[in-house]
Amino acid sequence: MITLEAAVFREAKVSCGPLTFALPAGVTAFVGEVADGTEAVLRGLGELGPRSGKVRLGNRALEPSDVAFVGQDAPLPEGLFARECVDLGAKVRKIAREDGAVLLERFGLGALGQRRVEKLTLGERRAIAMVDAITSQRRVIVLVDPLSHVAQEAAPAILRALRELRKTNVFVVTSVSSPGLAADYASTVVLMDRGRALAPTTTSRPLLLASQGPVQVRIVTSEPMNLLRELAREGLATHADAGHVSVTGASLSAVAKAVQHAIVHAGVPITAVIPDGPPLAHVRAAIAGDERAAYDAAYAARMQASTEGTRGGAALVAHAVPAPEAPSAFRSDGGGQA
Amino acid sequence: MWSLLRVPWTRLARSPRSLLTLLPWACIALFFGWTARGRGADDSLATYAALPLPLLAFAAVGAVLGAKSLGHAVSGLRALGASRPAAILVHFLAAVLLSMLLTAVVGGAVAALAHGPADPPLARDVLASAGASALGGAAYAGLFLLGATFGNGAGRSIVLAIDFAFGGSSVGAMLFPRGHVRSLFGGADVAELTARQSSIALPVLAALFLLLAFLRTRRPAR
Repeated sequence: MITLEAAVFREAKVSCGPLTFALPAGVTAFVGEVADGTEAVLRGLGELGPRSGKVRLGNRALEPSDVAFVGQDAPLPEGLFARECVDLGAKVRKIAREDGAVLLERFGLGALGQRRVEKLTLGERRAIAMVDAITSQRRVIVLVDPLSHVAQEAAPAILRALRELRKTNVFVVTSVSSPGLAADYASTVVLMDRGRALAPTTTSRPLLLASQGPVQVRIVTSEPMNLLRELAREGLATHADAGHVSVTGASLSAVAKAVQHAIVHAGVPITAVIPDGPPLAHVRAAIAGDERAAYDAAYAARMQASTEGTRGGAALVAHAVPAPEAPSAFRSDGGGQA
Repeated sequence: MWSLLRVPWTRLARSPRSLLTLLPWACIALFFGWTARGRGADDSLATYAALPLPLLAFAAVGAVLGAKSLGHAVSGLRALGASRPAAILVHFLAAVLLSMLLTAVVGGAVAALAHGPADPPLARDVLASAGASALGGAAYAGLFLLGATFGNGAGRSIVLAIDFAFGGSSVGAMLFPRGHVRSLFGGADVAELTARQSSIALPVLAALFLLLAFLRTRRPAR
């Protein structure tokens, strides 16, 4: 277990926490934008350490030597060929792994092996650093946005490798700005919201909301005024009607995130969420508490969206409804942008 | 550690253009030595200490680090699993050794070219000049490595300018290599220090600069 004990992370002007929860082995995706604190958490885990509080790996403090980290930039040593970087990574860590050229070939990057680092694009450098980190045999692998801004030829192999790491005892921590991607490879999801973390949840019970463009959702609640106030804080257009609140947002994921915030942080009880427009059976199934049906419907919706070329609009929402059953080890309080 | 040590040298070997920046300063120093040939090495070495020596060290540190900061160079090795202290030390070692080597070779060559009848025996003079140059090269490398921890590497130029402006003054001479190097080559002493004491002050300054550079780089920038 990686345990965060009132850990506060800070990077640039974004601070995050204090966070108190445990991350299981497998792949954990922190979902959110940079402003939500995802990168602050990942850089904190990967190289900076927490500003305050503790991060433990098992019974001891997490050490830099436990971690392989790839940030937004991948400053590999200039002057070396790409394959030499991978070989050097193995030598420095004193591990036995495939030859650099073979490893790069396996990840679809064979063509880069003979190119010097300074001649590579940022995406290519990041891809090489990802390959090195994923195969580093370190206990903890921290990857910022592993599938964006990487050489596209490497993305499928990186995705495959992440999926395989789900089943291992390695702790892989990633950040994703596009929530739909988290469901592709993560076993645990932590939804970040302006420096706070909503409860970690597993992707074995995902609610995948496939949607593009603005949406309107009706929310049945016994406390419409409280909900209105919370949603107004989120900057969403709202109005109350008899027995329900109507919300209009830029996307279903944005609306869902705001509603989750109202549920988790303000404790507003939600009876039902009824999306207008095209049928979203999985949302209704989830509201009814039938997670299996929700998953199946979400999968079908996602497949349809994928066929229509709108896969990027798919959003994974953790603990949308009903109110989350937070693990006893979990607590998230305070934090926010500095 | 050994595999890490190869990285800066490999970069140097594969980027001959970075070494080209060293050439003009070496040529200028040798030119001064050649024009003074047979008349004694004191003047040529004083000129060498004042201008080409610091610039050679400056170029050597730049060739090892690249155009960017020490932190940037270190993060390249850190990304591949090297510990931060090891990555820093590797760059220190490469920059200081390259700087010492270059300044010693050029300093020795200047002494040989300008050697006159009033000078000590040639071999002794060349060795003494090379040794003094190497000490100066080490101190300047430390100074420029410390400078490279400021800004995006631009601090290197700033400390060079400060050394030029204040390194010869009474207070600045104690804290910067310029005065001590000048003293070693027969120029005015720094405060009450003899040339021998300056030869101790230079490695002490080098160690101090490197320690400060290490402390500034041991944690990644937030």
